[in-house]
Amino acid sequence: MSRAGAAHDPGANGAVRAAPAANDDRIVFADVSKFYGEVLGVNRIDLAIGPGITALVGPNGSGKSTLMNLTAGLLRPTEGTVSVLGLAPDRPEQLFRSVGYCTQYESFPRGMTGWDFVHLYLRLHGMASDEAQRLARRAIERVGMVEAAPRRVGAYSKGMKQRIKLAQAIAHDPRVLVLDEPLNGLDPLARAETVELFRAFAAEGRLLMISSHVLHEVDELADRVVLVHGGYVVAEGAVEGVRDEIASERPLQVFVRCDRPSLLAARVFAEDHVVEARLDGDRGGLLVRTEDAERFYLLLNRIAGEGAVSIEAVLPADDDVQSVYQYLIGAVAPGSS
Amino acid sequence: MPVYDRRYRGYSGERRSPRGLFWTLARYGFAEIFSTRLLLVLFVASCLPFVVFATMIYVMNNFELLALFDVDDDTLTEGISASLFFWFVVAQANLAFLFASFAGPTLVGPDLAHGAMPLYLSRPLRRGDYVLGKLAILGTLLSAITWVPGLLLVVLQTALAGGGWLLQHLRVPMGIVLGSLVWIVFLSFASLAISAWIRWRPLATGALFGLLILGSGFGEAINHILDTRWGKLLMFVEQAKTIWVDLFDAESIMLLPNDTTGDLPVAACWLALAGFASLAALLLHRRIRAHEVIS
Repeated sequence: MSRAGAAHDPGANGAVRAAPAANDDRIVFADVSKFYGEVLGVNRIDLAIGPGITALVGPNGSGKSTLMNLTAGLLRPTEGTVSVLGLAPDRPEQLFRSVGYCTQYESFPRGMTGWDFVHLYLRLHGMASDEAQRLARRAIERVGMVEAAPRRVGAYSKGMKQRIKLAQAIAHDPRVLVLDEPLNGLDPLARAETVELFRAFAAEGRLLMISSHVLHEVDELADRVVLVHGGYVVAEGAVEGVRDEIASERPLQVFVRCDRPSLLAARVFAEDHVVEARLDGDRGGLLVRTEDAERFYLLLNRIAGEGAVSIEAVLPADDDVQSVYQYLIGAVAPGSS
Repeated sequence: MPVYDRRYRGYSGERRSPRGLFWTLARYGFAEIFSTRLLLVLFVASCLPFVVFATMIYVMNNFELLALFDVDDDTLTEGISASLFFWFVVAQANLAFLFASFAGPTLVGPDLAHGAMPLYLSRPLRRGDYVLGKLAILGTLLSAITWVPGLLLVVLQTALAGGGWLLQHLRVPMGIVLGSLVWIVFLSFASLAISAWIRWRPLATGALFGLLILGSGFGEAINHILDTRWGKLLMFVEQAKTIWVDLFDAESIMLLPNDTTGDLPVAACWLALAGFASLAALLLHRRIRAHEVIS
């Protein structure tokens, strides 16, 4: 993960700039800005997203939905270019075959059954009725909605609505899935099944762009995250990578459970990269803040090897999306309580 | 680092041309409309005048039947003129208005209210295709109420009176089709535009009634106060009637016996209706979007 360090100048500090040769396998934003009149949607976005699960994370109004709508071909950039698997939005027929889109809103035409909902949108992809029925059946089975499909969507629970929306997004077998808050409202079992489904899609080499407010889920689910704030990409890549990049400003917190925390504290505090060592009596260990995680772990190895301290566990305390979000965006992370 | 086995193979089956996709939308719209009892009853009721007019044509062409009922009224026995078809068009146009004012608001407003546009438009379906699909629903059903039965009456009359009648009244079928289409285009655009801007259906239906009734009221007031006839630019029904009279070449048809202001020029009526339909199309264009505009 790279942090767009001069966050308002993406591309200047590590953000991945698209390599045109490989664009047919990626979603590429090249210097993309979108303004709604005088209101900023996103500004000067340079981003390349490859196969796997990419999570968009940011507060409300940060530009996540704009990025998703640009990817889904529903918006055109004010400046710059967007290409999805090498397809430009001005070729919507090919683009929409490759993209499955699921809004965060309840987007259902009135009075439809779940089956009609999935079937209609397949027919709008130009599929013949028989083929649309086969694909609708398969998609409905994949999201576990076979029994509820003949009922009207209006009578569905929120979780069922999410699943039937997901069914319409995957039904035409797209390579790219753009899913806005797809886990909202799902019960734990459906959530676990849906996450498994996403992983299966990713394993097939599909590109999944997912926005979520539930950051611990993003941690578990996403191969990489894109942190968005105020219309700018603040950081993007694997979570651990960006955490390392900001370690000098925000020292990494590591909790070490051991039998002699006081002794360990005395040893580690002598190191210049350790900025804080705090005894945690409740948990029976030591909380250390370090600017250089690699050197700290080497030190721990050495101490453990000497046998003076018996180390039971080493737990990074803030190298998750939630912590990165708080450090970079500065707000209370959504979904945290 | 995640490892991908790249088993993905996209759908490789056949797809129809995107240009015909609006019709898929229309088919679902028919099913939606006829699932509503009120609209079904209205549609069936709108077809009843056809039976009445067909019976009239049959009776008026059957002298033995007229003699049986001891009818010797000259107006009946002289045969059927263009005015019968003109009044059929007027009657059906009123019913078409009634049907459109209830059916139109069910077509666009609910999609907007339910946020369905992003999903529609993330298919190979353009905004124009979406509007075309919705227009096709109203266009087809209103055609089934207006010019299609009108032409069937012409066929019946021709079959009963002989081909000579049709040759003498060639403007009748043209008047039925063109006159109905003018009204259908006006009603369709008006009701869809109102549906797009007023999402609460009863209010949208009321707005369409208001457009015609209040428009007529304002038009009359302007005519009286300013002693002019141009207030009729707000009276869409009067504009349509002026066009129909011209199309049927039926100058003798009395429209408004108490109207002393006179009709507008026919060209002005065409322009007024076309202008209003264009305005409605513009309003639709502003409303039908794939995304919510941030303000």
